[in-house]
Amino acid sequence: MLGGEDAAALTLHGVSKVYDGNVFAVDGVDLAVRDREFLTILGPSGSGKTTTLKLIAGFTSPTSGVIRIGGRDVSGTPSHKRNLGMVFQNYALFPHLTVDENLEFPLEMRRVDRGERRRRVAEALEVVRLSGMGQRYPRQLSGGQQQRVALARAIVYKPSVLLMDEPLGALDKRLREDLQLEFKRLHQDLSVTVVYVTHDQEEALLLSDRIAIFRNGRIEQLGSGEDLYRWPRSPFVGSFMGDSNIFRGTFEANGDAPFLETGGVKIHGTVHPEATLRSGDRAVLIVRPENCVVVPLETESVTVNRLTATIEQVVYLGSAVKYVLNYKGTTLYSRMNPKHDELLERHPGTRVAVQWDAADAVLIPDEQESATPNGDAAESNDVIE
Amino acid sequence: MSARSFWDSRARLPLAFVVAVVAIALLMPIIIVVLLSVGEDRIMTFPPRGFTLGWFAEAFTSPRWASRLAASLKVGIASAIAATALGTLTAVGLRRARMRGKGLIYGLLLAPLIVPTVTVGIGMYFVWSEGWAIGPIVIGGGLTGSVLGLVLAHTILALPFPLITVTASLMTVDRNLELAAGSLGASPWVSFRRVTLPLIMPGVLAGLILSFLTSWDEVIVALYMATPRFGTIPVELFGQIQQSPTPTAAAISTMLVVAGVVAFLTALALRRRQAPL
Repeated sequence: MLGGEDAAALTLHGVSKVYDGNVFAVDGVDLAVRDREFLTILGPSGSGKTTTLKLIAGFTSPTSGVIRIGGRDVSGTPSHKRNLGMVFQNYALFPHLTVDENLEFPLEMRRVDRGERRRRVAEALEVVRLSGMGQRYPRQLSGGQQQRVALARAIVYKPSVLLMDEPLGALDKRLREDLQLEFKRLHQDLSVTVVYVTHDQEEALLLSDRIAIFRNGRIEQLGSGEDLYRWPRSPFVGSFMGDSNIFRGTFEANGDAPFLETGGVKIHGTVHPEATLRSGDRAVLIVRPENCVVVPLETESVTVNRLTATIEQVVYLGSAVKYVLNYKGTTLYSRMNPKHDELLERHPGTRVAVQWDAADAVLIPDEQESATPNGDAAESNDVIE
Repeated sequence: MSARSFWDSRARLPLAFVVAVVAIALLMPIIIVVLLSVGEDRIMTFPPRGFTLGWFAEAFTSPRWASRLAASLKVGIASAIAATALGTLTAVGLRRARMRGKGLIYGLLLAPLIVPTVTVGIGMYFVWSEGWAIGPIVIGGGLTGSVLGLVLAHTILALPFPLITVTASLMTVDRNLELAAGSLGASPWVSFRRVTLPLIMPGVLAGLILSFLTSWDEVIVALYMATPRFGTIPVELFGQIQQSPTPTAAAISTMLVVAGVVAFLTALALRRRQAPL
């Protein structure tokens, strides 16, 4: 059971998938999924996330690299011998079989005897709260129920890793939220290792122990949701994980108070703990909208960073007020608790001050520099926690 | 324009007339044959006089017709099974395959539908009777007058039907189902047998019936391949009509029509069953 690396449930070493000789769908991915971890592969379409899942599932074979499940090299093992569970976006239930028969299918493949099959099917249906639905056909169930059946079918034989490919993509928002909570509960109750693919960052944050952000077939950054949100390693991660204000300019170390020089203005921030920046480097500063406080111009500055901008739009969101500001032609966002902006005139055109702490702004190298050390992005993040 | 207003319009009567004429024109030959088969005269005359089922009895008891019926059934069943097996595997294979020229292969396999049977038949006759020598290897040859030769020929002629019906059935089957079956532990063969095949079964059975019908009333190639001792029912009918048609031929024809209609209705019923899935 052990063996291989650090008791990882699943590892990928330098895995690549090349189509038509030169298109890298997946480009040298290293990834170690821990036992019982909920790991999400997050990325835009075309980032290689689904291809990576297909490689793990064995639906397609890697052009190079090694995939291990529980320490065993499965790179050349066909799908049906990998003992994985897979949940598809469109459910992929067998339409000619009842719910019970769908769930029995993987058990029959494993030559589980009839009585034991019955018992485990009933148990799995209870876990997904569909007891009593066993005699129905998939088409007689709602989308949400079908996805629960698909989930039950994928866990009834206790696979070593459960793979889920955008399982909530076809459901409406309300149902999606219900099922997200259910997935989370099931992951805890069943203590199963999950690799989950989605393009929805909120879903990723809600469900995952760790998130791997994919871009152009590579892992851009791997870490907990909090890590990725607070310490994005690249502007791409910063903008993919929630809204962000991004400034580009020249880095100055300036002793303990590093800053970014952009358009004649100095914006102070904190250098990303894993980034190396030298004075004069091209750099990017990222600050989250909720850390940007909008105040009337006459208010005294209490933070090191303060810019003067014009209100373009104010959007009341209930739990927050979102300001869209124009600063020298670039758009800045601020998100504030509605309680704290009483003093403010919310009219478009009003001149206001935007301010934030240096501790809330991250300084990282600009794209070109951050793009090179992709291979060790996964490893270095592994060490961090 | 809705269907209702069209049928209520003044076009209704003339249209009904045209439909009736066409229907009668289509049905008349069949009706005539059925009537001829129950007439009492030894030489076919129309309108028939009297009523007898004797010609049917003769059709069943005459050793010549019995041998023709046996040949027709053997060739029809064997070639239907062969064509359906090949057509099904080809349809599944073409869907799974990732390669260029899939359209071309599909088109070539449908060729027997498009190329006139007279033309194909000449080529087939040459190959099956003389053999086709490629260097030291000879394909075919010496197969005229045998069940095997005609089965091979009819398998090729019938292949497009199961290929089309199974391909159509496959379109209704989600590709992820086979992947899902694989992830659940089913080998490719098991996932075909347990998942894909049951789902495309209506198309397979429709292909089987259409293949059988193709062979059942095929006369051109069957004529080329026939010998005085070996022939199918359509060949025998063809020969009889040219010499001295007896009402037995009409009785046989009537039975062919009934068998054909039953087979066709079965195929239709199978397609219906496919729809709600």
